[in-house]
Order: sequence, then structure tokens, then C-alpha cells
Amino acid sequence: MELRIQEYSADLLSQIQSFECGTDDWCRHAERWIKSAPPFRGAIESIETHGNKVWLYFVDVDVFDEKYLVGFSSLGKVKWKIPPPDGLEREAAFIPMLAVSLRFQGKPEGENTKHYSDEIMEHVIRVAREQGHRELCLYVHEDNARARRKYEKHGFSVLGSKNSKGNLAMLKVLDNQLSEGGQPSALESGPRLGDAAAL
Amino acid sequence: MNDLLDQDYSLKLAKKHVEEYSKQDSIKALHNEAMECRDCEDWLEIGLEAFRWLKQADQTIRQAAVEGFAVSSSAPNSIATLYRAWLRPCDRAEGLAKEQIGRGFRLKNLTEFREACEFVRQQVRIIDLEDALDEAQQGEVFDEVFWQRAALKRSDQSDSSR
Ligand SMILES: CC(C)(COP(=O)(O)OP(=O)(O)OC[C@H]1O[C@@H](n2cnc3c(N)ncnc32)[C@H](O)[C@@H]1OP(=O)(O)O)[C@@H](O)C(=O)NCCC(=O)NCCS
Repeated sequence: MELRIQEYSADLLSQIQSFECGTDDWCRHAERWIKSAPPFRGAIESIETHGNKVWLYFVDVDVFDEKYLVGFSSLGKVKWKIPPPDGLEREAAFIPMLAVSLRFQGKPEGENTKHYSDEIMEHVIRVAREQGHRELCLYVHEDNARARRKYEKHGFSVLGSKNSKGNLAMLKVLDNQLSEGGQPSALESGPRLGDAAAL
Repeated sequence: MNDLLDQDYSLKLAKKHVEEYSKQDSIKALHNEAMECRDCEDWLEIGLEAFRWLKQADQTIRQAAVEGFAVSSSAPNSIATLYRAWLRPCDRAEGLAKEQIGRGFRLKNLTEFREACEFVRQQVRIIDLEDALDEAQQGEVFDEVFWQRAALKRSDQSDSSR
């Protein structure tokens, strides 16, 4: 089933309040992030303060005229000066948060079937490229093996040691539309999601 | 029932109860020896009462934000501070509870108290993750070493694609 993308904004807050993606700390963090209105530090605040983009992904089941929230992703940027504090300013794309609803994790099932989480990753990576970024980075808790596995599969590797909170900094080079190993990734060159109008 | 005054009031009540719970911590520290099972239960109850007020204040303010009511920008910080403050006496309370159990007593509110501790510990860990995300967004996770490694990776990758 195709995913439909909708850009997230404060008027959708009430629609997301039942979102659940697990019981680990990072899952609770993700849930709180997407549900939070300012002044809490969350998605809406990140849109308003940092200019991040946040997307919700739905599957529509026409027969029942119902829509299900599959998950969400986000994209912003980080800046860094090399050497600090006055060096050349560098900028990279950054994924602040991404999660898939418990109900849709590991789905759809089946051999050689792309999971919804893969489609969501592809979408974020594609937008980062379209924005002209050369690097895409994120951070992930060291114990979050499932997310780390997902990110590695999409060409991210751990480049930073963990900070005091147990997070690892990961990076994917977006040069020349090539994935790791120099070949265009099958995942990233797949068909576009259902409705890219919100981009 | 969700305006700034109500939010402020619920925070003040939570603060008062957390302070009372913490105050008992110092008193208990002085009178550790003479602690009776009943005293211990009473203290856990004061902790639980503070926990309920704190959780209520947190929910009231979050709900207000979702419903579009104005929320004071200092509210999230106050809640975070109160959660951390609530946790402080917990180790001593747990220690005293264990002593009572060792003496053969059963504390009727211990299970509920432990659940409350676990809940608040998770809140504090999530607040730490929120801090870390802020640091990341401000470029602090992605430091100089990170970017040096990124530059190396970039050149490795362009070599292998040639
Ligand atoms: C992280 C997340 C988006 C991944 O989506 P998903 O649909 O669950 O991912 P998948 O089912 O495709 O699993 C990803 C990989 O992890 C593996 N995996 C599953 N559970 C695992 C576990 N407990 N430990 C290690 N690996 C695990 C899967 O086998 C799969 O590997 P494979 O592709 O080699 O088969 C989703 O689990 C989620 O939203 N988690 C909670 C929020 C979160 O952690 N967000 C990231 C914050 S940085």
C-alpha cells in the first residue's frame, strides 16, 4: 500500500496524540517529541525555532474510508565551524527524529518487501539530496539496535563516539547521488511515495 | 480550566508537595534508627502524594499546550526540575523500606511507590534525551572530530566511485 505524505503542523497535533512506537526510552522520547506543542521541546517547536520540516506518513484504506498513521520523519540542518570558533561554517542535513507506529514496524511482511520504515528513510534522504546537502547526519542511542540497523542499511555509519547521554553520531555522504560502495542504492532509486505534493 | 493561572496553581501545588517529601528526607536521615514501619509507610505516602500532584501538573500543562492554550515558557523547565527533585529522596526511601522488609514488615504502598520511581526515572531519562537532541541541533554532538571523519569518508567514497 502506498504511503501518503502530509507536512506536519500545529493544527494536526490532536490527530497524533494516540501515536505509540514502543516502551523504550527512545520510543517514549519520539512519542513525546511528535506530540508536543510549544513551549515543550518537540516537533512543533523544532519547526518554529529551527525551521525543520516534519512529515506524517499515512496509509489510506479506501474500502473502510479510513486512514492510518504509519509514522513520521523530520529534516533540519546543523551548522559547524571548522576550526571552531571562527572557522569556515559547514552545514549538513540532520534528521532530528523519525519513528514508525508499533502497528506498522517491520511491515509489510514478505520476502524482498520494502518496509514502511525503508520508504520513510528513502523519502528523507531524497529530500536532503534535493536540498543540495552533501551530508546527512543523525544521532541515535547506542542501545537502539533496531534503529541503528535501519540506518546502516541506508548507508549511515557511526562517526562520532557517544556523548554523555549515550548517543552515537551517524553520517551518510550524499555525494553524486551514489550510495555506499559507489552504486546508486536500489532503495533510494525506487518509485516515489504516493503524494509528494507536500514537499 | 486550563488557563495560565490554573497551570501555575497546579505547578505550585506540585512544588509544595515535592518540597514536603524532600523535607521529610532530611528528617528521616536524622532519625533513621528509630524508624517504625508505620513511619516508613507514611513517608512513602507523602512521596506518592507529591508524585500524583506532579504528574497531574505535567498532564494539565501538556494538555493545555495541545489544546492551544497559552503555556508559560518556563513550565517545561519547572516540571523537569520537580521530577529531578522528586527522585532525590527515593534512594533513601527505598533503603528504609528494605530495612523494614528485612525486619519482617510488609509495606502496603511499596509496590505503588516503586512504580512511581520507575515512571519518574524514565521521565528524567527522556528529559536527558531531549537535552541531547537540543545539543545535536545546535551542532554540539557533531563536533570537530566528527566533521574531520566526515571529510575522510567523503574522500574515501569519491576515490572508490572513480
Ligand atoms: C527504528 C524504526 C523506525 C525501524 O523501523 P522498523 O519497521 O521497526 O524496522 P525493521 O522492522 O525493518 O527492522 C530494522 C532492522 O532491525 C532488525 N531488528 C529488529 N528488531 C531488532 C532488535 N531488537 N535488535 C536488533 N535488530 C533488530 C530487523 O531484523 C531489521 O534488520 P534487517 O533489515 O537486516 O532484517 C522503528 O523500529 C521505530 O520507530 N522505533 C522506535 C522509535 C525510534 O527508535 N526511532 C529512532 C530514533 S533515532
